[in-house]
Amino acid sequence: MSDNLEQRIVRYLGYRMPEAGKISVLALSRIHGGASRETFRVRIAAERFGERGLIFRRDPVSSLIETEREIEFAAYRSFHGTDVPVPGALYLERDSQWLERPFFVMEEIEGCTAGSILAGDPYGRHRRSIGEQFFTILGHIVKRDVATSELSRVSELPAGDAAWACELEKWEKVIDEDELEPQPIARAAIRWMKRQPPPPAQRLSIVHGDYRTGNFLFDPQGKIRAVLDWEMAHLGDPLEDLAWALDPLWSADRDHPGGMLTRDEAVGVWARASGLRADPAALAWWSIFASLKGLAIWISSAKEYQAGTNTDPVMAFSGLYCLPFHNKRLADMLVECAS
Amino acid sequence: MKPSPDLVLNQTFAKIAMEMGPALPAGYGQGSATTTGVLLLMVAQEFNRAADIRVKENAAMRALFADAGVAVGGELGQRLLAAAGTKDADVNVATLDHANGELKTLLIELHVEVEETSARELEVRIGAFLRDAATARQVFLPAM
Repeated sequence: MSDNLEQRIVRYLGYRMPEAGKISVLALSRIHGGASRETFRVRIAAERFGERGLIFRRDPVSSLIETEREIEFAAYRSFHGTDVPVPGALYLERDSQWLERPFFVMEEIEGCTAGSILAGDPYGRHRRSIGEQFFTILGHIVKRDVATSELSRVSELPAGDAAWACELEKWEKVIDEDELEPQPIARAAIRWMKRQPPPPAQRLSIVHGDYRTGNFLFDPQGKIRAVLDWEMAHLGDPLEDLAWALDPLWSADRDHPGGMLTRDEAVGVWARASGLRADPAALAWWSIFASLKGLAIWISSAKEYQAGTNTDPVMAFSGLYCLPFHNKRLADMLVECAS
Repeated sequence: MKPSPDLVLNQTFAKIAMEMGPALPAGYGQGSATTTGVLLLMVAQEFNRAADIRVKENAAMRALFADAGVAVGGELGQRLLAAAGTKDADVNVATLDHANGELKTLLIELHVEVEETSARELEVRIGAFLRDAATARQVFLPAM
């Protein structure tokens, strides 16, 4: 399969980069963790361009999140060359003749690593610096003008007072379609969120949709070099991303969301960078939403694994660990809201 | 059964995640091996407690339905009382899960009813049940 894939990649790059001359693949490996896309690191040598690292993101047979590759590609394009670091998005390929399924190609960001959500201290001595960069970059995402972004061509702009309802409806539908067992906590959360809607969004912005530890790369000096995994990007309320980034699932250190700053510090950095206020009541609503959205994703992944349509161990992990985690968090928050 | 299944799963986790995984080249294979090991660790936790958790959840929901059935009344009350009188056929996890699913479906219906009728005492009791059940089902992992 790897040889076959290698030959296919050479043929495709020859078609896409005829000016490069003869192309050969020096190394090809699959990257772990991209359960929503199959991700391959490809090192090529081109006759006229020399060596270069590329990333291929191929549609899976089945995935954690059924997303449009166009959205992710457009999101990368929306931020390339801005103060939100992203790899260059090179080619979007819808034709399945090349690699059996659609895919897109990005530049590889070399010499970097991503933090793990299971690590007790994923960033070590760079914890503070990375935390400040991380929440500052999130503030910069908020400031990106929506109207001139590529994402606005492939994602609908909701009304400011409807952003929450659009997202809630989307994830409720996922639970409706994918639950294998009744979900009384998720159902109670959905009813509560509908009864107690948040205030309208202060502004509508690009929302990354999965902004967290594990989805960005940093170099050995502690500089964040790329924000990745934009497959759930959309236009909406920026508090959605802030609440998601603050969710306690993203670090074994529960006092430091994502293994970085304290919650208050993180909110402060974000507020300064974005120029927005994190209204406590609104952020509380979006925090409940974050856990519900997580639950919906884990319910979907458990269904895929149970059905045998995607047996990547990450899918089972989502069902066995993440799903009970967010069930507990939601139940705690609902009891707190009711008291 | 010796060695006990949870011990076997824990030891196999250690073999895969600490020895076999790190010996593989970095990348998809290594990551998948580590995640597979972690899955065994979680299944080991579930092995001993799975039946106990479900028996207790089912009993708690039946007790809740016995009280709620009287308070709610009507057709829903009748169904709640009928469910309160059911028993688990055996303690196989699959059997318990099936009953658990039926009881939780009815619990959702009851929860909606008490929210709409502002039956505060029952609402608090359901919330407490959901929180306790979610707490019992948590899986714990060491920082890695």
